[in-house]
Amino acid sequence: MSVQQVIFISFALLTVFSAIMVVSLRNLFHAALWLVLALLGIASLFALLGASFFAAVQILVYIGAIAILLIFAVMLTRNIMSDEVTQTNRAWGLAVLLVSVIFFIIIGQISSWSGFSQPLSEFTYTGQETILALGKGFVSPSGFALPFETASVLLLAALLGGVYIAMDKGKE
Amino acid sequence: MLNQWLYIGIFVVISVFLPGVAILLARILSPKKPNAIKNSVYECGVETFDKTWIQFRIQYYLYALVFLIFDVETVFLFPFAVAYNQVPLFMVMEAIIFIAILMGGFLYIWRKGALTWR
Repeated sequence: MSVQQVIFISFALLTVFSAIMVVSLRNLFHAALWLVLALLGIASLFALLGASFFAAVQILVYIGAIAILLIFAVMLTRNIMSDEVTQTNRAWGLAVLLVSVIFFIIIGQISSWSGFSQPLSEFTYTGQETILALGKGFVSPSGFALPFETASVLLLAALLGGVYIAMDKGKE
Repeated sequence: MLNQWLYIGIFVVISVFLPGVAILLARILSPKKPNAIKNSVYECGVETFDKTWIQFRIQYYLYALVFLIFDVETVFLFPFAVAYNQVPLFMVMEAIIFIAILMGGFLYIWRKGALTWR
């Protein structure tokens, strides 16, 4: 095993372990903290793939904003912090069975695809060129100019909708 | 490629190691003579007068939400800003439209008073 494989396996195990902790812990606040670690594991996987921009975005947006938003949501909610809620119900055995069957069906289908065993081709962009290509792709009319502007409208809708719902209307 | 990340990896390891050592050393070296007063819960030197896990104000959530939106906006604008020198004026206008649409939302929530602390 090469050094890169060892690094990949350790980060993948870290990600999977913290993801399991997120869904199995009873205390919601601790689950949110484990979620931060899981997201950090995802970011390191992006970094291993050479997608440094996505690794940075993962840390900036998911850990910096979304995880904090989740922690705020937990802190804002009354009485949900108590440990009495169980994480399982009666159907958990059936759910495990169904999920594993679906998992093996999906893996079986994907592995019959010819591109599955094909090794990835080397990335032609190096260093800053990836971000340059992404930036040009965002704004060039032949690239993703329309999705770029649509993202702006989407963000506007999220901003207005979120503020409209979350704002305290009683004191206006 | 991995050499660049090695620096970040070293910093991550150090940043976990230093507080870990500090906490562990304190646990090993400190004398343990607990009594009821030492084990009591306190905040900023005074005794707590309510439950520790209280419901926070909804205003914090609003701020985090607005922060998240502008965080994502930054993610979109950063690649454009890197490529700024190499794109024609037409594409710069597109980015200005992108900012203008979000600026409209910003002005709206500002006028609505969502940014003032109540």
